[in-house]
Amino acid sequence: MSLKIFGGKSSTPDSVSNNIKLAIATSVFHPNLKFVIDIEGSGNILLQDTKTGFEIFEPNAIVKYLSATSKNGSNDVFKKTPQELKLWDFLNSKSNNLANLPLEFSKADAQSVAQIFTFGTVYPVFSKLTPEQQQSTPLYPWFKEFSQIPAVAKAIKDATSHIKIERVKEKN
Amino acid sequence: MTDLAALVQDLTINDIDESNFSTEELALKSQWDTLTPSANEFLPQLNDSLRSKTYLVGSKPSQADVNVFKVVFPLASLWTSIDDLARNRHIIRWVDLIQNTLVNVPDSAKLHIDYSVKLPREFK
Repeated sequence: MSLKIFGGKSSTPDSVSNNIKLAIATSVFHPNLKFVIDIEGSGNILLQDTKTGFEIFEPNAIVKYLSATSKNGSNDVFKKTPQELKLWDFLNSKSNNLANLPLEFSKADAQSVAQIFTFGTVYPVFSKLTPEQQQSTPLYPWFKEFSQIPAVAKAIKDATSHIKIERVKEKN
Repeated sequence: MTDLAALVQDLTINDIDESNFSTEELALKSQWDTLTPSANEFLPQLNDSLRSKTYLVGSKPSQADVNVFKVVFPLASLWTSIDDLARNRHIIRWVDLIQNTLVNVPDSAKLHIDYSVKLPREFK
């Protein structure tokens, strides 16, 4: 296979979020492709096709490209969905309060690009919450179900194996 | 700078045909659509990307060219040192193309390229 995909080596929340999205998209849409975090190299996000020279580095575009080029993929994925637009509004609001995220999914679906984006976005926030705080979040049932999809669970491991996320201690 | 920023808001855009884009072209367009608001933070990547492309998605113009142009054009007008010109040489070539094809910029406001400037050789 001539496609190669690299994650970012930083452990900032943004980088974790991007790596989660890329690792899930790789695991779900191109399971034969290996998601690599090049700790020794530049450590920058990149998708490249060594055969054609095609390269992109923006994580969301990479997720869409992986979806479009998957077995049942379509270029329709490049059209923005209402769910994506709601997610971008939430991100632009710079809010970390997941209660303000106006998204709900009736069923976890790892083939859904909107759900991959949402999961990647909320993962660093969820990771810092206590189990009690997580369970009080409206998105929690979907988040838990999504994280337990085998391809997603593998992707989380691939994306976070090089970092340590510190959980915020509960205040007495 | 302020005048240029106001000008780019009022640019009229010539026809762009985005039908028949390939998956790769759509992915590149999607990339630059997302990065447009912060395009000034991605100038090295933009310059590098344009090293081998006529437009942002390759050989075809897209709305992304116009949107990124609006952010980069006021910055490009400030690049006068040899270092700036050398570092952004592919962006400057692209700005010149866009201002003369995809958008209508008054002659008085156009970025004027000094072809007599000797730039150091580019190392890839």
